Amino acid sequence: MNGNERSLQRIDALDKVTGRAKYAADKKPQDCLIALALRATMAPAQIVSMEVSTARAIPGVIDVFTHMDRERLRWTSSPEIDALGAEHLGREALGDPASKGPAYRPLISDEVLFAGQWIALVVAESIEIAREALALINVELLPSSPRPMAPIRPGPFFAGDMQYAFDTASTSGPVAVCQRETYETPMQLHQPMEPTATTAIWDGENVTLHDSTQGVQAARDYIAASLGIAPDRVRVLSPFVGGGFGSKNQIWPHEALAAHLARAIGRPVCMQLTRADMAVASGYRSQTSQIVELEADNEGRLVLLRHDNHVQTSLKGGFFEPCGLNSLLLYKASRIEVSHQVTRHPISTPTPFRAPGETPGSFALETALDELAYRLGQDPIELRMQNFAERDHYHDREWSSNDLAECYRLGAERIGWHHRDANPRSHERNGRLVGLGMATTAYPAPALPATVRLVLHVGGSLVLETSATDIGTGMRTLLAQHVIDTLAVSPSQVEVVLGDSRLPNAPTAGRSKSTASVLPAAAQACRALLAALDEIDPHPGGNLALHERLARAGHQDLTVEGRSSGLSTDQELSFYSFGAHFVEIELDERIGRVRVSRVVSAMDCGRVLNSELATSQIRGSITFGIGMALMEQAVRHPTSNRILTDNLAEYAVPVHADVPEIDVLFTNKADLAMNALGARGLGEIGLPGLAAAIGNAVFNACGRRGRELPLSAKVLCGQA
Amino acid sequence: MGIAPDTASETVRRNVSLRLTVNGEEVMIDVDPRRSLLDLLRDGLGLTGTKKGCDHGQCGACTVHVDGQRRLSCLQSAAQLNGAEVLTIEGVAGPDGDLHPLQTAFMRCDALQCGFCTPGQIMSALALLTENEGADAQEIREAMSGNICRCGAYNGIVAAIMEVANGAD
Repeated sequence: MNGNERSLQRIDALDKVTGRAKYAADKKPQDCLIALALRATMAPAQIVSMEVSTARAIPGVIDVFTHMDRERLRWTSSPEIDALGAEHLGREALGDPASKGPAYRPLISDEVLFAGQWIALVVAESIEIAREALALINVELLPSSPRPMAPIRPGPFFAGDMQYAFDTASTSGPVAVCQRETYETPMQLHQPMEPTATTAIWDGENVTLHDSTQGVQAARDYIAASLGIAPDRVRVLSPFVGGGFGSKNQIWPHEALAAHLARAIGRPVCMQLTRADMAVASGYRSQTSQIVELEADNEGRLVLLRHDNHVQTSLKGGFFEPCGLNSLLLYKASRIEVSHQVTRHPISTPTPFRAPGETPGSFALETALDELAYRLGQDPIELRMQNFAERDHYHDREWSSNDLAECYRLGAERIGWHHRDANPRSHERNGRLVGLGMATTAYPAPALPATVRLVLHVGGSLVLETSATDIGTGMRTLLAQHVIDTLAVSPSQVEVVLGDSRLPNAPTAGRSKSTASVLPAAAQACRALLAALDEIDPHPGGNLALHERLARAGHQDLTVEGRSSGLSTDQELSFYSFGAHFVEIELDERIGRVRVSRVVSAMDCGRVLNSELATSQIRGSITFGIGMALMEQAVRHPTSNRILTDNLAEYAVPVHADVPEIDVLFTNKADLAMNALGARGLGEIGLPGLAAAIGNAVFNACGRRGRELPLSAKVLCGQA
Repeated sequence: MGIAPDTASETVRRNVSLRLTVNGEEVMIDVDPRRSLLDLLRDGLGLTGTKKGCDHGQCGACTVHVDGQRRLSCLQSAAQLNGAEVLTIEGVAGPDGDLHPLQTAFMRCDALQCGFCTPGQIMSALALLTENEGADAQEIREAMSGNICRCGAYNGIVAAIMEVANGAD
């Protein structure tokens, strides 16, 4: 690896390789009941009748709840609850009448807004009994005709304008080449390996939830509001989360519903979403249709970059893919125009999915640039460097640091880009066409306030506590590594406790902000501990360990807190991570089979704190990019709006055989304006651009351009 | 909905008595005849190391060994396992807690992120090592393709299996 960073082995790996790591559904107490939901088979519709008495009569069925039973559940809807939940995200940007009414919650009314909506809940002694009861509920749905709703032109979202046109200071010559193409990306499902689950256990007036969430405090606040009790009576625990990718970053109704069920029945209840539920009940990435228009002079300088986006959301939700964000700032065209248009459909509410906006947006923009380079007869890297934005012209700010040029250089060198012939069909291997393609990635680097508590015990142990979650990112390990290195203690002394809403505040594990938010707080806590120790033991000496100094001062333990302030949005600098993907593919065009044979990705994420964890993160994002380019596509039934691919057989995701050895390089240059550690987050930066790099490699292999994902047989099959 | 509830319920509500061996220990238990081995392990025996990823045999997270062969426990009816020997992730380490070389290789190679698919990956890989001793990387990828890792730890998993296959530990 490059740089001088060290890699502490993932400290929770032992728990994970032995099966000892406990996830939300592993924490069922002895008397725990199982809740399963009946799903509406079509939408939009109205529930005309429901017959649950047969189901209720099955021995072992404790109760059945429908929208008629919301009083028994004390299950309501209010603007205050809505504002804390996933259904609300984006509604302020949309600002249409539907955004101002109540958001969707299951079991509130007889209205079916999307297929897969929960219309009844069975609570039973076992999953087998619950399934039997579900099959005995009779439902009559009446299809309703949706009122046509006008397309919405949303206001600012994700700290960027959704409608914006401006002239930059960048100069260009007369237009030599222009192109305008439409790019389409499919509906994609997060499908983390752990289906979301919530186990709710009441103890008197307090409730504990074992929940799979990326944000325990956000979950606590939503659940408390829903239950109508004070937040300090709700404890949310998520020490281990089996992946999220955004699906567990917002708070969904079921997390509160489990607590309502357990309260109504008086016994613990575990509600685990089925794989089919995961396609509708915790968000997804909606499909997009994007038009990119480029004009360039004969040297490849962009005269115009226009990016128009058509995206979808649900009937009452708010989230939509802000695909045009990077187009505002990544390349210096003389004129830039970005627009978004959102339409409402009888579908479930989408939600952020690893690099929302940038991921589909970069497919369109980075494919368009490849097309432009080919038209101009210019190398795709040269075209990008010709239009390299030395500063962020959209926000009118300098970059805090931008090592993109070095990413291009490193990646090109490693993959052997200079051997590439820009003419398609120039490379072959074992009877298959070979192609090389590249694309740029960029993603914001935010940071929010966080607090970390550090407790030194006289016995030698050091306990670090914060409510941040580790969803596989390695947060637990990064924190331990920092304490070990800064305080010169041994790994066996350090314990990191995460994922408990009662611990000091930390942001949700999303939007690549955890490292830059929580690590500076840990650094501050380490400094505070040393300062506090100096105060109680003012004459250091004798080369004593920290806990020995504590003993000398006559204390049993010492508790300090460190805080970080995060980055406000009105900074003087623009904080972004950058990178360049290089992909080699092999294509057997007789059968349309494409294999990604090599990936080299060079990343500028500031200083890398643990190269092994960072490499794993980037490889994970790249794997998502492979899926997006070649196989992932959720499909709805044309009339019922059911998702036909709500399982892992019909919604294909990359498996071992799809993923080659992935080479990840880091420029590893500290971004000291970001924080004293120089580190930016890297949970998402590896995904944008990857699908475009694959498509561009396919074009280089066969000369056919894929503007729709996943790449279709039309592009991949050809004359042998 | 098509089922005559009374008779169906009467039939299914008769539990089945089972005697089987799980991780070397004899277990006697009455199970619902509809119960999967996965739900028996997790809810009946408290062995939650085996994970429910899809419950439809599509993801591999619930892989265990039945009589020495890898099996998707969500598709295996528990009632059919009278006399069987089941090995789960909890039984992979030695009785004294010594990790199997594959477990330490997974740790060394960072062959996991969220860890949810890891028990299934390890159970599959353990079986693979006996099924196909001299497997190369490509054969390992093919043989492991029933075990999905959404975090994308595939490079590390293959590296870990290769290390053990080549006796690196």
